[in-house]
Amino acid sequence: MRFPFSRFVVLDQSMEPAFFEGDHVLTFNWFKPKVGEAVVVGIKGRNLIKRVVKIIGAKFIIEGDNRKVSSRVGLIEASKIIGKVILKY
Amino acid sequence: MKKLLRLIDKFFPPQTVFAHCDIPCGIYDPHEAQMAAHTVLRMTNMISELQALSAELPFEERKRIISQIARLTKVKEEHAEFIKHQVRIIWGDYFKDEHIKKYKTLHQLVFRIMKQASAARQNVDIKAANELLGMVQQFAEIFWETKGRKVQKVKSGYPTEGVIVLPK
Repeated sequence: MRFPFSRFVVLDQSMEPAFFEGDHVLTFNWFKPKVGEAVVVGIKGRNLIKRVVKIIGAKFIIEGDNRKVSSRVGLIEASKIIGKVILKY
Repeated sequence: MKKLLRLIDKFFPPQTVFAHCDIPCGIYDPHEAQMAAHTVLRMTNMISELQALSAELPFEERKRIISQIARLTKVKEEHAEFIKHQVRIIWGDYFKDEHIKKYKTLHQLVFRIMKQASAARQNVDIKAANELLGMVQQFAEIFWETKGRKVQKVKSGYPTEGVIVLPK
């Protein structure tokens, strides 16, 4: 089972204005994602911070807030989601 | 609390997290393009269904109708452009030579989507909007096939009725 909390530091601008480069975030990892929540997902060994925009069955569409930089959307499985962001510090 | 976490981070650095996935992360999905195509069709339908109460309308009634058409047209414009944007990204960043060799009509299909989306913007044409939706769904089918996924057409549940193409 995953540890209930994780710490991350954001390294680019694609979630601005909610999260800026250099922001530290704390995630809670025992949760069921909801639409509108910022989540950290692990894909191919890389962590990404995105927002859940739609839930289709057991899958989630996520995207970055800053559409000028982050234009991709993705349909991902719940197992790829590490946790939801509960604190920026 | 925040200071304490920062202190912890000094001694035990946190993991890094990226937001921009302009790396080969493999996260692509034509779903939103399909939703946008349904939206274009819906806006086209709603504009077409607008009716005036009489030939000689009072000024207030004219204002109401013009305002409504402006709002519907704005949404139609935005979503048609969004389709082009999404399709261009998947086409330019995801598809590879091997896909193009297998799906020889792909370039032509993308070209037709670009033109059809513009046509749907320029006109209030239900047929054009339906054709755009069909093309975007064809694009979605090819996309999922290249990923080795069978597709299913499920009822959209939208006011436009019709289907959306999803991977099984």
